[in-house]
Amino acid sequence: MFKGVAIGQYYPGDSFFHRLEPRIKIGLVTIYVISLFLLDSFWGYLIMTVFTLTVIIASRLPFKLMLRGLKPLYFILAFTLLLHIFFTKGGTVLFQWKKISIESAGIISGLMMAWRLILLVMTSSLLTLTTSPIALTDAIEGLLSPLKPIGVPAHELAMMMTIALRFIPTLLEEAEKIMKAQMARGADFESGNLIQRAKSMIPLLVPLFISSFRRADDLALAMEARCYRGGKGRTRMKVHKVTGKDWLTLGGFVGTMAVLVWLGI
Amino acid sequence: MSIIAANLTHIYSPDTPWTAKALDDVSLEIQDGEIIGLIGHTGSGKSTLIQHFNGLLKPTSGSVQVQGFKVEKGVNLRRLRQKVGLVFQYPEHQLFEETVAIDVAFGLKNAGLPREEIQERVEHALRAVGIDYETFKDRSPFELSGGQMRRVAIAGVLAMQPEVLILDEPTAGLDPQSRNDLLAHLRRIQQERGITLIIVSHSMDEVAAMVSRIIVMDKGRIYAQGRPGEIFRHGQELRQIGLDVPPLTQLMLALRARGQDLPTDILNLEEARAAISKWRKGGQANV
Repeated sequence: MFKGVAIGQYYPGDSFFHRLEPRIKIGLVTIYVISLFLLDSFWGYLIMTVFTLTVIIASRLPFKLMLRGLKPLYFILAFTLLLHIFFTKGGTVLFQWKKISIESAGIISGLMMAWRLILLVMTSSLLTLTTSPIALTDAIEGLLSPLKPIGVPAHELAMMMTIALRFIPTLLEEAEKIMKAQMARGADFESGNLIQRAKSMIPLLVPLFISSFRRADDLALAMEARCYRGGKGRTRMKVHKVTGKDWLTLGGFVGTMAVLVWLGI
Repeated sequence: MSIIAANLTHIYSPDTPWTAKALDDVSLEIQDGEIIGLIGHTGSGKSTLIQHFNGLLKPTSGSVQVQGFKVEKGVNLRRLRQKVGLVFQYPEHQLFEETVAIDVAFGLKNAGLPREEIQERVEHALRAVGIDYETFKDRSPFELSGGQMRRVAIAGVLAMQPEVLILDEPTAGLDPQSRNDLLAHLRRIQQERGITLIIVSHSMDEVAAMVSRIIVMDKGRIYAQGRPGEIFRHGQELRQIGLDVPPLTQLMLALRARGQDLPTDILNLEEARAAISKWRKGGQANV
């Protein structure tokens, strides 16, 4: 039931994109997302798709995994598509029944929107797939630290993210274990109406909450026992350095995107 | 016949990068009323195997038949799970109700039993694990000690009155006193009800004295099976797959290694004492 959740899932590798400095990588993905919204044509999307596919292939990520990452999106994709098909007007009328009509502009803009969403999610998941959670939170801390003087708790935020990411698989595993244990006692998680189903979650959620609190307690104790006192004066075992190669990649990508946007593709 | 597995294979997450073969062509038979010790190193497939016995997992290939039910798609899981009680590792983590009595009754309520019968069964199950019903029924399960919580959780499965009871590492994390208590309760329950009992463990020592047969698993296969005494004779090979034989057997093996003639299928202290005094008498006679 919980298999195939791709959030925060790191797919280890040693490709060019894996080795990029994580802050630069975040920058690249941000620029990609912005460009995706500025570009609004078939050719623009095609170029962006080529970019994404190139990175996927170069990073040796299995394509099946990428498709599985889209699974939670199916509903939204279908919803967007239908919304556009029925409510965006323009172009030739393809189908007419009383007040409902389907027009060509609707189909085109629906497909474009779905395409954009797929690119958006795939590319953002590339970031977490090719960057270890530790490197990722380090990068977020690095990017936020200029805001420290105005009271942004950069280190604490990054630490919270690290811990949250670290415990996603643990909690999923735990949830599955408890579910199985309750199923062995005759619990039924799969049938019944919405209210019955919500009720049937209690035997799962109560033990899960209790064990999470216990885990949090243990973790706090363990961190304190190792003298954790927040971010002040803390040094790193692995320091990420932005190299010339990283700047070149970022510069090249920004340049390409700027040209594309300027050309109005 | 209680359980029959034939060429049972289970593969987790097939066709993904995380695919893993947890069971590889396992065939075994367990008779009604047997007490089985299922032993294996972490990752040997023992937990995967027992989850097939109550339909939590279905075979990738091969077949499992439990109490007349064939475990496959479309099997009546509700009826199967009433016949086969499965107690997971650290079962106290699955407690969630406000009082001990309500928690033990959870499975019975799911089965839709009448109220009087539920109460009677809860009382009986708690007594069977040595928890006094009147004292504990209205207490929160979360204010009990670890050993008590574990026993309450086991009572929750016992109350279903299963014909096959499977426990995954029932004594993990308990102190020696609670451990011995729990094992004694289990033995008595087995004798009173004549159920089939399967105890999963990585410790030979713990199960040796009470089981009628040991099944040793390694890398998803059955490595060996037989009476405890027979299994312990192969102490050297067991050590190679990361398992340890009980201390008494180790002693016998060590003495044998020095050329002394001692039996290695010793199960308890009395047998060991008898064997050693017999050997010493023999030894003195030779001097």
